[in-house]
Amino acid sequence: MLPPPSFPVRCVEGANIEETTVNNLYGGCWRDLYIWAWQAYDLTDYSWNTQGLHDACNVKLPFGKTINAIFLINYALTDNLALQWHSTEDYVSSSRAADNRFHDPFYIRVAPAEDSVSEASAKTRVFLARKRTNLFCALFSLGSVADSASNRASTLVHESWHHWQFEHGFETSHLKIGSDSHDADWFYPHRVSDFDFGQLDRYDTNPNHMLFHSPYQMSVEFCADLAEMSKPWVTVVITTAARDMGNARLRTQFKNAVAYRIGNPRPF
Amino acid sequence: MSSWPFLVLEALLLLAVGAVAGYLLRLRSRESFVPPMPIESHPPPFDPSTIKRLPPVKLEPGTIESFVLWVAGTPMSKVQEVRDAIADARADDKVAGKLIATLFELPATDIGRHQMLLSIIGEMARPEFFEPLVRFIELPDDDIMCYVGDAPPCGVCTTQIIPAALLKGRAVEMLAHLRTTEALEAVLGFASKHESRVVRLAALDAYTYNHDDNPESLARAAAAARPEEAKFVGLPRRTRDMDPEKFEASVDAFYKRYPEELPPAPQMARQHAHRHGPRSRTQR
Repeated sequence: MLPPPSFPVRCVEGANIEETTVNNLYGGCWRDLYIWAWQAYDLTDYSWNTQGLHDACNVKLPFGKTINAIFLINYALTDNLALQWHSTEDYVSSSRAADNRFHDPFYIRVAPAEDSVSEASAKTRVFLARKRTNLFCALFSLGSVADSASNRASTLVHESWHHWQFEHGFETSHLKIGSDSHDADWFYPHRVSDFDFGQLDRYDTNPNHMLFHSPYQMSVEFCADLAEMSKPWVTVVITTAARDMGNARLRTQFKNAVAYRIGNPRPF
Repeated sequence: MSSWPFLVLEALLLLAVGAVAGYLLRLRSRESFVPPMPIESHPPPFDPSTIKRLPPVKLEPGTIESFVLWVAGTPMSKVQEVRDAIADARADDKVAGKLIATLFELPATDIGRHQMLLSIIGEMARPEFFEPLVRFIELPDDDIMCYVGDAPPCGVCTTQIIPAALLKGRAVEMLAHLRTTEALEAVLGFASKHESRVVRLAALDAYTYNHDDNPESLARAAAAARPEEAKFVGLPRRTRDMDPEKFEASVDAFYKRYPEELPPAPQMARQHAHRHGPRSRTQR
C-alpha cells in the first residue's frame, strides 16, 4: 500500500442544512449506495483515507458529502422527456468514472487547491498517470458558498465534461472574462428536443445547426433540471440552492448572454 | 576502466531509474485497486416511501430554528403546507421581529439556512419588512458571509459566485414579493444601481414577475437597466409548469434579435492524441 499523500488537505468540517437534508432523504446511512458510489465514481484514491472514507456516512466530511452529491445526480430527477434538459442516465454516465461513450476512465480525489480560487479541476492531459478529477476544500468546507450538495453535484457533472471535451478533441480550458479574469465558457443554446435522452454525448459543430455543450453549460443545465424538474420528494432547500446557484452562474460564467432564467422569483 | 565503487554506484543508479519507471508505469496501468468498475452498472434501488419527514412545526418566536429545518426538509409536492403555516403566523409581531433578528445574525455560515429564512420572510410579506430587506441588500459582502477555509477568504471564487450576491439576489426577490409600491420602486433602483450583476438581474426579473410581466413593467425595467443589461428584461423562465414551445420560441427570438450573442464554433484542441483516432467533427 502506498502511503497517504504527504500534502495535508484540511477542509473545515461540518454539515449545513442542505447537507443534512439530503442525507436524511436516504436515511442517514445507506451502505449499498456508498459502496456502489465508491466504485462507480472511483473514489478509491488514497486521498479519501483522511477525508472520511472510513466514516462514510458522516456528511461533515468530504467523502460523505460526495455521496450526497452522487445521490442527487442518480435519483433526484423526474426524467420528464418534454421538459428536462437531459436524462438522469446522461448526467450519471457523464459524471461516473468508468470508460464510456462520454470519456476515458478517470478517478476522483481530494487534493489541495492549486490556487486560492478553485473548487475542482479535471486533469485530462497527464503523462504516465491516470486521468483524474481533483476536488478541493471549497466544495466541502463549512461556510463556503460551494459547500452545497446540489452545487457539488453540478460540479461533478461540470468536471466530467472536461473529460468529454478531451475525449472528443476539444479545447478543455475555460475562457477568461471580466476585469478579474474569471473562468467562463460560451453558452450554446439548444432546444430540449435537440438532445433526446441518451444523446448528451453527441455534438454538431456545423454553424448552421450547432449543438454543443460547454462545462459551465452542463453545470447550469443540471442545476435547472434539479431546481425545476426534480421528483416530488426532493426538498425545498435543495431546489432553492440549485435555482439560486444556477441563476448566478447563468449571469456570471458565460461570455455570451443566456436567454433564460431558472424558476420563478417567489418564496416557495 | 571503472573501479568497483563506480560500478556499484552505476548499478544503484540503474536500479533507482528502473524503480521509478516501474512505479510510474504501474500508476499508468493501475485502473483501480478495487475490481473493474462498476460491479453493478445501476445504483441500488431507492424507495422514496422510506423518507422520514420531520413533523410539522408551528411558527412561533421560540421555534424559528426548528421551523427553518422543517421548511428545508419539506418536499416540493407539499410546499403548500409551508405557505399555510407561514400564513398562520403572519399577524404575529413577535415572530416577524424574531425572523428579522435571525436574518441579521451575521456573518452567515450556512447559506441554505439563510436562503430558507429569506424565503419565509418573503412569504410572510409584511410591508414593514421593506426596511430590513433593503438594509440586508445594501450590506457590505464581507458582513454577510465570510468563508474561512484552507485558502484565502476568496477561496470560492473559481465560480466567481460571491456568496453574499446569492443571498442578496434572493433578498431582492423577496423584497419584490412584498408587492408594495415602495418595495417595487426600491427593486427597480437595485436593478440599476447595485454593484452585483447577480443582484441587478434578479431585480429586473423580480420586478416584472411581480407585475405579471405586463408591457408597462417590461418597459420600466428596460429603462432602469444598465444599457448593456436591458436585453435581459423579459427573459423566459424555465419552470416545471412552463409551456416548452413558448419557452423555446422566446429563446429563439432572443438570439434572432441579438445574433451577436450566439457563440462561435467550439475550439478544437491543438494537440490531441486520441486512442480511437480522429473523428468527424459532426457527430449527430
